[in-house]
Amino acid sequence: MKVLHTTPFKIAVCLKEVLDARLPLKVEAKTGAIQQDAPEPVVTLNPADRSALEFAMQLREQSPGSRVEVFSVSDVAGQAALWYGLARGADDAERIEGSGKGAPYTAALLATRFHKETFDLICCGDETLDNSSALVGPLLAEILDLPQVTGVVRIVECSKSSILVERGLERGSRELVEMDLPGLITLKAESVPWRYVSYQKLEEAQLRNIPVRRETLPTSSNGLPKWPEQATPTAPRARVKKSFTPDSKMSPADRVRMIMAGGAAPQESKSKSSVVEGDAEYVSEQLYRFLKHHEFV
Amino acid sequence: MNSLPVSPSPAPPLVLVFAETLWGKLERLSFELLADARKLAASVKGRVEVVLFTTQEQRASLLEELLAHVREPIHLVEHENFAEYSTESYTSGLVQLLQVLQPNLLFLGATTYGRDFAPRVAARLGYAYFPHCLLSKTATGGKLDITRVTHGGRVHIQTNWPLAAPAILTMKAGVADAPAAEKTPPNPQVTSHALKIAAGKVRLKKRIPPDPRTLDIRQAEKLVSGGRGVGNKENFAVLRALADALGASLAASRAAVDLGWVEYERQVGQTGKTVTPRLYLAAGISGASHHLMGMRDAGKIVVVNTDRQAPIFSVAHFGVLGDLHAVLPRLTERIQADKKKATPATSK
Repeated sequence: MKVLHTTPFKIAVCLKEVLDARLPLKVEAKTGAIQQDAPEPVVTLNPADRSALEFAMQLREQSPGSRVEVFSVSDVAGQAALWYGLARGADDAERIEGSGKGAPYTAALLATRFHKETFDLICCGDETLDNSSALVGPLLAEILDLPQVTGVVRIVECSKSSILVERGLERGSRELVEMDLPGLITLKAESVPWRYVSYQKLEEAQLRNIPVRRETLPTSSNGLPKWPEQATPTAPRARVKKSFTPDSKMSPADRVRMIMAGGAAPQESKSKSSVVEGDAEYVSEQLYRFLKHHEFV
Repeated sequence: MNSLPVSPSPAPPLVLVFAETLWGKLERLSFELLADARKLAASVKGRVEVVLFTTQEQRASLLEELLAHVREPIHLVEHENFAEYSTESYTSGLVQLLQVLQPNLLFLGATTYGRDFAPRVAARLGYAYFPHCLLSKTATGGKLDITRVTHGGRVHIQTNWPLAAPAILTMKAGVADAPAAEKTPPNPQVTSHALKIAAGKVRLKKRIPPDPRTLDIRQAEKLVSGGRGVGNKENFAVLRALADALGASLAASRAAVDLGWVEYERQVGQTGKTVTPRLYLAAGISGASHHLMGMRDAGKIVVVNTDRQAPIFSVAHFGVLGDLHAVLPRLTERIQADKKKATPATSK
């Protein structure tokens, strides 16, 4: 990242502490509670948020005098994300409390906070590991009437008035775009390499008193999408694509082979697929025709 | 115009599909959404219509591409601000169009663009927003059963949502199969809407197409994969040449990676990556179950192997019983010759 005209930035980073969904999870059938198969829940700072934090810290490093503030909408138990932010070097942290649950409320609460104080740049994670709605960033920008770039994978250049970033698109395509500041970006997880935080810094951060701000939302929910209150989490059921009964005429060796093939039903795929053999010239021509037929060449 | 929910009128429910374009080309995902929308509309006795944003230059080619699959009415918004994607232009266009059409549901791809502007549309209209859905079924009493995927696919969240309250659903690629192309060219009604489209605030500087050679194999559309049967590290040049000709990325089985022939990032299987490309060409891979687990959901699987008993043939759509060192270079030549023929024709 290149920083032009090193002018101080004021950066806000939105963080969330999440249940680490990369570990095994189970859904309590009766209550619908999502739990980890462990005595204590394993929580972590949302990976995409960590990219956002890391980027903000690097920007501050390169433009002296900048300030980074971290925010989190959470209850007391969820403030470890802010501790992490402080330990990584954020100048200030603030916990926001409010009524309502779900991504739109989170965005609305953050927006009421940012209405009171303007930041040059707001950085969010692209999506969370738990709820994965990817909603807070765009909604926040919508309420604050800011330009936005979501799905950022690389920051190329930063100046006081604009930021040049690469956004990741489908199947590895990318786009280089320029956005005027103030604005909002959401970063993808793994887009900025993380640095480790020392245990000592983390302990120091935990001793700091994190201020709490209670925000109240305007009573009308205008300007917010509707968010279903009634939702039942379930464990995903394996979707059966095709089921088969082993052919009793098959030899045990064939059956074993079928199991080794991961349950693929050979009777069916054999009838569908064709195996060609012969001299290389002939088979490569057949292969080419197959690829051509399915528009791969 | 305000955004009141659709009044319970006798009109059949309307399911809209947003046909997304990326750099002037239709996304395949749009057709998958169409398949899902048709299924849902059939169960609620509703109708499906398609929305397309385009510019004057791209209109003809995009419509042609769309008409190969679509027999439903198409709503077209043509504006110069759609030459490139921007949050503001797409949001303003879709908001106005939805106010006119008053759909019950809108299906959108959970792509970077879709997830960028759809939340803003939902916010402006007060629609419900269901990100990353798996499928929606009709439940009793005019309600939909909507399943959303969260926690990295480990949890499904089900919601009962009234069909009368408009909602936007986004879906990822691979949820449904795209419908086959129409045999007789359908001639659906195409309605043009003249709307005031906001200009984008974010400026596009450069489009960066993916380089198959450096692409993450999980994102690749086509993969050429090699295993122990390739023989040695140098022989992978044969596969690389084919991959380059096909515009594919190189992958490998664990055997080839463990032998140090290919880097670990390119390993497919249980201890590597799970891939779902449209084309998976496996050469010299016998197909241990650990490997098959990582690739059996690929669109078309092509196998080149000398052993007819190799388990990989059980998942193949097209198999070649032969030596990859003889077959693949010929295939590469054939593709290159075809490209050379095609180049002068297109330059005319």
